Amino acid sequence: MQRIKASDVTGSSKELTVSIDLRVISLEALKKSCYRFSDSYYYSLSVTDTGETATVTFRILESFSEEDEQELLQRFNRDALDQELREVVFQKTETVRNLILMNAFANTDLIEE
Amino acid sequence: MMNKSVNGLAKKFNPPEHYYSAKKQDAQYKLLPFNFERVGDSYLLTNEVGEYLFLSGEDLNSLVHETLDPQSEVYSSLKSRHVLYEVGSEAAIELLSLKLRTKHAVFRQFTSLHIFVVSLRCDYSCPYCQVSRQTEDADKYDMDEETALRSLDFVFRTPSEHIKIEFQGGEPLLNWEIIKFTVLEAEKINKTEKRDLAFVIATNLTLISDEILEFCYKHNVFISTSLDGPAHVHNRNRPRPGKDGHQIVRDQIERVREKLGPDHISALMTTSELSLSHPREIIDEYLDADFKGIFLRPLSPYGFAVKTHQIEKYDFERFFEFYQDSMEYIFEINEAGIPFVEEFSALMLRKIFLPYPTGYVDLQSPAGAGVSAIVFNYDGGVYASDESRMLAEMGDHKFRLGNILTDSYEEIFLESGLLEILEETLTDSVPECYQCAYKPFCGSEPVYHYATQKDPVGNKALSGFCTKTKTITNYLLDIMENDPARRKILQRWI
Amino acid sequence: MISLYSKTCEFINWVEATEPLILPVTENPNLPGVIAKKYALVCDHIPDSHNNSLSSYGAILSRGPVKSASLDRVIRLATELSYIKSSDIVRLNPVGGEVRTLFRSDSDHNSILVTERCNSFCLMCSQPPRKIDDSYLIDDACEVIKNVPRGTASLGITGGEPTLLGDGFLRIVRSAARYLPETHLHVLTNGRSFSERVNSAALRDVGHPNLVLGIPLYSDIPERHDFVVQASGAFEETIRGIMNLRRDGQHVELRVVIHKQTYTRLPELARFIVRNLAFVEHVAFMGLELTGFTKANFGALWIDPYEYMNELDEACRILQSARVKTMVYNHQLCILSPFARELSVNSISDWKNDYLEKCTPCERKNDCGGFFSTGFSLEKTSDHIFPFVSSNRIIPIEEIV
Repeated sequence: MQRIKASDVTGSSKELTVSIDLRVISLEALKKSCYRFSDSYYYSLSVTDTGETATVTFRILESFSEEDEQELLQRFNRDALDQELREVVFQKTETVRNLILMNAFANTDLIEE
Repeated sequence: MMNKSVNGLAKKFNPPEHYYSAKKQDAQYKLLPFNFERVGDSYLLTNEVGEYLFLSGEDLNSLVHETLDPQSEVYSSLKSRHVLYEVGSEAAIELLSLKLRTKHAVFRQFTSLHIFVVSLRCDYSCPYCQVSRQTEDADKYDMDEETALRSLDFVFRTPSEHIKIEFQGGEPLLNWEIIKFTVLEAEKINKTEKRDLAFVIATNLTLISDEILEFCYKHNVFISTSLDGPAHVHNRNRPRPGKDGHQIVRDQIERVREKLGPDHISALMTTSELSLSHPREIIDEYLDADFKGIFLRPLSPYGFAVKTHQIEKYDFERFFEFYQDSMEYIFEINEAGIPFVEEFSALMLRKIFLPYPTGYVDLQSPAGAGVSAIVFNYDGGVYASDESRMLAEMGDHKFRLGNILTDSYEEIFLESGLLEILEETLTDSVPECYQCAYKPFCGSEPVYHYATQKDPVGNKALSGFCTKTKTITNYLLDIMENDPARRKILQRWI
Repeated sequence: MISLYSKTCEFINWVEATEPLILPVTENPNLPGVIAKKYALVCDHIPDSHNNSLSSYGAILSRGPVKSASLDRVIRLATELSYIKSSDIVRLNPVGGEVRTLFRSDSDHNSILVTERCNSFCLMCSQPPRKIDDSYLIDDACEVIKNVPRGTASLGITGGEPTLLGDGFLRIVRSAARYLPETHLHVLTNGRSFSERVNSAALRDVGHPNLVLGIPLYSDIPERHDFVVQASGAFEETIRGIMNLRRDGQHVELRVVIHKQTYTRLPELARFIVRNLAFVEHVAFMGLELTGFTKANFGALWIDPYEYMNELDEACRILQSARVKTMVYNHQLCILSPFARELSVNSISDWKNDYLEKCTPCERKNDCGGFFSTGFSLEKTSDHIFPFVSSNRIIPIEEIV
């Protein structure tokens, strides 16, 4: 699912690239994961023409070791999977959520204080 | 196992299995809305009203893919917390709806905290102060009677049963006449209104006099003051030209207690860069001053704090270290038999464990700004919150709602753009927040995010406010789950 | 322990086939005839010479032997019923030779049994259900209520399941509402019939000003609760019943009997109550009464209360921190944690409580409810009962000399 490709070195930073199979992790989930990591890393996100794969490129410090890179990828991978799970939960509970909200706020027969 | 066979049942009684088998082994359960977040090696799962459970990644996956074992302990715990339900259980949906409604009932009360900034003048020069300071002899920075009266008009327009009026500044006692005036006028109006009226003066205590204390006693006015720690911390944080501010505060606290009673004065501290290295001494100071608790707050990103670079000097991580050291000491104190509360933790605990809203303005969605609290400035300006006013002093009027002398109640609340901001920042609707496991324990804080990121919604990944909620919640839940002795202490704070 | 029933009283000069009578008791022998006929006169002995006024009384209860048989409707009370006094209410059944005390003016814990039928079958039921037609109890209950002194602080309605009486139940509550509006009425019910909104609305319409419904809840897990009450779907019905009662402005108290089948999840139940049912008046944790079905299911139910001290302690803490009023009933003080001890209420009905031999020197006996004296509650007790005594003072030699 992912390929590590250490490429151009520009200035004191370098790039770390990950390929994501969009059949495993949806683009929605992927975007959210990237958003989360945006406090620590600049990133760019692109999707291939076929729409099957996305590429995330992180800008990381030159001083990043092999270990550091692995750790970042692991965290990102885990988070992306979590995000995907969240999407699933959200979809499964959308209907009942609306029902509960409706009951909670529109139903005046519920319980009055 | 939930339905292991039971010995000792008489013949005509059915065993537990009989009541479980009504639902078949592979019965389909359905999910109720919930969010989750990885914490360490496990996951924190919360429902919409803040009931929580820690579970393994494996169980979480099984839960979501509807393969969780109905006989398991986890299953029971999740069912009991209304994270899953079985088809046919109307009670679960009914209960969850009621819970949600109860948790959100706070804004039905509307505004209850009204801050009157009666003077911008101050006799101190604290580096982190969010208030702009003016010298003592500039009278144009004081609230006048007309402004006070108009503000009181507004105050009593709120439908809230409980009204708290807090006098702030600068140093509010520099405009004592207006405080007196406002209290008397408010009581006059309240003869017909019959609300539960409370008054507080937030003062540095240098100008306290017998006359003032007499009045406070007669009209049941509470005092709130600042105590940052022992002399060397307090005086550095709060420099007072030529005098020993710390000694004054300590002496005057006793004086206030003698005249008004020990429960009529409370203290707040601000955590500056210097404070961070003295947790135990600061707490000792509070113990020495006979306070029953302390409120630990990180520095807010407003006013002079920004200008004097205090805000860059420490980030949340360093505050959290300070917080942990403080809590460690506070636990020791409690374990030695002395009840002592950390108020911010207590607030968070109430938010997590109580089924009804806590009313703490800073942790609400829709935001408490303007809705739960409102600020009347000396010049008639009306602001959504104290922070909003500080922002205005820095030149940014985004959260200024209008002017009491020229605008009507309706214009201020409905046309100022306040409601739009509240709606746009609802944690239920914004990125990150809407799927956050900590959402039930958090709030929107549009002013904070605007001040730090120029965007009331803000990118939560960059938000110190967000980090604070998550970190402190994790810390407290860890104790509640894993430390039975300390859990008992925290339970008493709720 | 006070007996409320006897079949050994001697009925003297009663007309055959007289229907059972419910009468308030008086010690006043001088009531005018018109009034006297509505009362049972109790006396230590029947005076040898008496005027005809005594013959007007509805019944005459003699604590001492009855020598002459000149009066009608006399009863020689069995010794155990000689406590009967003014303002008590008795039921006299000449056909069965039975005397039953239905109300004791001395007691703070009067309860009216309105039916023995029940739709639950709790493992630890102290009043095992009987499938009989006891609808006469409805009329009896209303009759008692009419005679209860108006200043009475509280009155209980128990069963079986009172709400099975349908309109009969409403009739009883209405009686209490009209005749005893200041008397706190405490109805014990499983709440299941209120899962039909029409039933809670009907109760609301009766308009009792001072009513609390005591409803048992044994687990946060439906199947667990259903098992304890031996009825499928009971949890669901009870919860929905409680919600309806709340909608209709009724006050609910939750009761939890602690035994081997309910103690393990006690903290979870407390958590569930805080989250979902925090509006209840209070939560009452109760000890096991070793009578009725408890005997049959003893092996499944009995646990030394000392063993669940921690669970009960935690459950109390959870409820108290959320400001849900909590009380602990029927537990001896010595087997409770200090925290739970503060919430303990001396509550065993005064007609059925007692103490052990080893309790004699205990300094806290008056605060402690002691034990149930029913069934074998005194034979099977905790292994950890101990009296509270201050440490003995060691007398220095100088003081003795």
